[in-house]
Amino acid sequence: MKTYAYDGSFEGLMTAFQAALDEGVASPTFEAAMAGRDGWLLDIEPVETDAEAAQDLCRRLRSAGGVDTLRCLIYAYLADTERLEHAMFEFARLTLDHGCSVAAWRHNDAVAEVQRWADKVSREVHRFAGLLRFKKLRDGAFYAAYAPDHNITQPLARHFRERLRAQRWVIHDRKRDIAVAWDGDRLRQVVETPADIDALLADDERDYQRLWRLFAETIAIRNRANPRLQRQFMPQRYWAYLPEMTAR
Amino acid sequence: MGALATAFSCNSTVRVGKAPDATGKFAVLTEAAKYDVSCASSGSNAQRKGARTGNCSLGGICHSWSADGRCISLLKVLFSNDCIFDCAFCVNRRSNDIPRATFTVEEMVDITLNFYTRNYIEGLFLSSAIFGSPNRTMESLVRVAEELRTVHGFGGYLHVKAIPGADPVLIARAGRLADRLSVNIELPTERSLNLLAPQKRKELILNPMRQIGQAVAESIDERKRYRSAPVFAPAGQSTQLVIGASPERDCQILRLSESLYDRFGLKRVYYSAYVPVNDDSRLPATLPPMQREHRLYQADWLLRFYGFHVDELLDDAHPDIEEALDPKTSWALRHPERFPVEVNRADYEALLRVPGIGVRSAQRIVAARRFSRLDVDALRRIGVVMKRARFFITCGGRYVAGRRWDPVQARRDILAGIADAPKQLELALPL
Repeated sequence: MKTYAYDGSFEGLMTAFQAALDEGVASPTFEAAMAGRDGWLLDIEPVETDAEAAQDLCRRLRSAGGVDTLRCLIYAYLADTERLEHAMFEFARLTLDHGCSVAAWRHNDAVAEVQRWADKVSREVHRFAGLLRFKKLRDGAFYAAYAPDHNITQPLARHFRERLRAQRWVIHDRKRDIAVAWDGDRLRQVVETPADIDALLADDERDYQRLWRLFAETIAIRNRANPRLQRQFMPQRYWAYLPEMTAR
Repeated sequence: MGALATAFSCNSTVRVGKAPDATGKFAVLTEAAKYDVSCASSGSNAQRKGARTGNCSLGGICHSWSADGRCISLLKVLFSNDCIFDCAFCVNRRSNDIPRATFTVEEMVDITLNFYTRNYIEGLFLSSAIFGSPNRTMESLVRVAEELRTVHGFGGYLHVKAIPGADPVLIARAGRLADRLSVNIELPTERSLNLLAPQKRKELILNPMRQIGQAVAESIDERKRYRSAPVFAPAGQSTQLVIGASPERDCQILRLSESLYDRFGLKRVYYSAYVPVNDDSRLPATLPPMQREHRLYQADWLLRFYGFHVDELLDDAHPDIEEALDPKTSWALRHPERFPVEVNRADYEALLRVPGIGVRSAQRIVAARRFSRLDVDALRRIGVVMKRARFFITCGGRYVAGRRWDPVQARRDILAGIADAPKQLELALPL
C-alpha cells in the first residue's frame, strides 16, 4: 500500500492521482498536507503540485465521463471531509478504464461514496442559494457571512455572480475564513476582511432586517404551528447568520 | 427610498387601528396574505433581456421557513386588504372589522428590491384584495410589475394574481411581465361558490384562466419558431382550492384538478386546509384538516408525475383518500394482480407505481441495472424507501418481505409499521 501526500488543493490531488495512475499502484491512499510529519517510515511519497498534469487529467476525465464526472469529483473534493480521496481515485480510474461516465453505478461502493458526498455538497449549495443573507454596507457594497458544513463558497459565488451582478458583494465563510468578492466584473479571493462589519452597516440596514423578521413572524399560520418541521428544513446550526431567526 | 426606510424604522409592534403606520401597514398586509399557500418560485426559464438585478432558478429556491414549517420563497403580501367582496371563508372580507391598508406602488417596489438584494427572497408574490374595482386593483398590480421590470431591471421571480373581473387587456399586460399568473378558484363547485362567495361567479374565474392558458400555449408555440418572441408567464398558471370549508369529496376535488391540468395546462393546483378565521354559520368550526390536505397533495403528485388518473385512485365506492395510508400504497394494495414487480426487469412506468419508489429512484434503477443486477443493498443505496417498497417488489426473483406477496398481510404490516414509527427509528437495524 502506498500513500501520496499532496498540498490539500484540488490540483494537488489531481497531480497525486496522476502519479498513482502512472505508477500503476493498485490501491493507493492519499493524505492532505503532511505538516511536520516525516513520511519516510510510512512509505509516503510527497507529490509536488503540477498544474499542467492536473489540468491534463481533468481534460481526460471530462472527455471520458463528461462534464458531470468532473463536477462530481470537484464537489466531492469540496465536501471537505477526510478519507474520501481513495473513493475519488477509484471513481476516476473506473471512468478512465471504461471510457464512459460511471456516475450511475451506484451499486459500486466508491461511486456511491463519491456521489453521496457530491450530492451533499450540491444540496448545501442549493440550500445557501436561499439561506445566505447579505447586509448592506455604507459604501453600497453587500456582505454575507455564513458557516457552511462544506467548502461551498466558490460554487455559491458563481450563483450570485449571475443573480446579483449589478452590485458589489463579499461572501465570507467564517468557519474556514475564506472569502470571495464580486466587483461587478470578476470574482476575486479576499485576503482580509474587516473585523467589525457591524460598524460599517448602511444606515437603513437594521430597518430592513427588522422588516424581514416581522414578515417571517407574521406569515406563519398559528393554527398550523410546526417548529419541528421548520428545524428539519432549516437546521439550527444555520440560524446564527439569519436575521429572521436571531433575537433583535 | 430613504424616506420610506425612515418611515419603517419605527418600532415593529403592530398598531391596531384604522390607519396603521408604515411598519404596521406592512404587518397588516402580510397577515392578510398568509392564507394563500402558493409560494413556488420554480418553473421559470425566462432569460429577461436587460435584467440587471436577479434571475430565476428553474427548480425554485426556498429562502426561509416560517414557524408552521412552510417554505418562504416569495415576498407574499397583499397590495391592499381593503376588499369590496364578502367571501365567507376569507379573513379580508368586507364585513370583518380589521385594520385596512393599501401600499403605494413605490413602497412595494422599494421593499421588494431591498429584500431581493439581501437575498431574503426569490421574488414577489403580487396579490391583492379587490379595492375600488377589479380594474383598479389589477392596474395597480401591473404597475408594480412594470416598475420593477422596466425601471429597475428586475429579473427575479414575479407571481402575479389575475383579479377576477379585470379587463383582459390588463391580464395580458401582466402575463408579459410575470413568471407565473394565478387565479384562485377557492371552492371546488359552483354550488359552494354561490353559497360562500356570492359576488364571485364561475365565469369571472374561468374566463381569465382560459385566457391565460391560451396565451401561455401560444407563447410557447411562437418561441419554438422565433426565439425572440415575447414570453408570457413562462412558469404557467396555478390556482388554489380551499379544503374542508365546503362538503365536496376528495374525488370531486381531484377530478377538478385533473381537468384543470388537462384543459387549461395548469402547472399547479394548491390545496389549503380551511383555517376557521371567521365566525360564520355557513362554515364548519373545525381544526384545519391537515392530514387530508397532505393526502390530496400526494394524490396530486401521482396525477402529475406518476401517470395516474383520478379514476384509478378513487371511485364511487372509495370517494375519499384513505387517511391512514398514502394514496399510492392504498392503490397498490387494491391491485394485487400488478405486484410484486421485479426490479431488474420491470419497465419505468411499472417501477413508478411501486410505493417507496419515486421518480428519481425509478430513473436510477433503470440506469444502474444496465451495469449489474440489483439486490436489496443496491436498491437502498439508490435511495429506494425499502421499508415500504419491500412489500411490492422482487429482487432477482426473490420476495423480501415475507414468504410471498399477500396484500392483506402487507396492509397489516404497513399499518403496524406506521403505528410503531417512533420505535422503529430506535431499532434502525440493517435488514
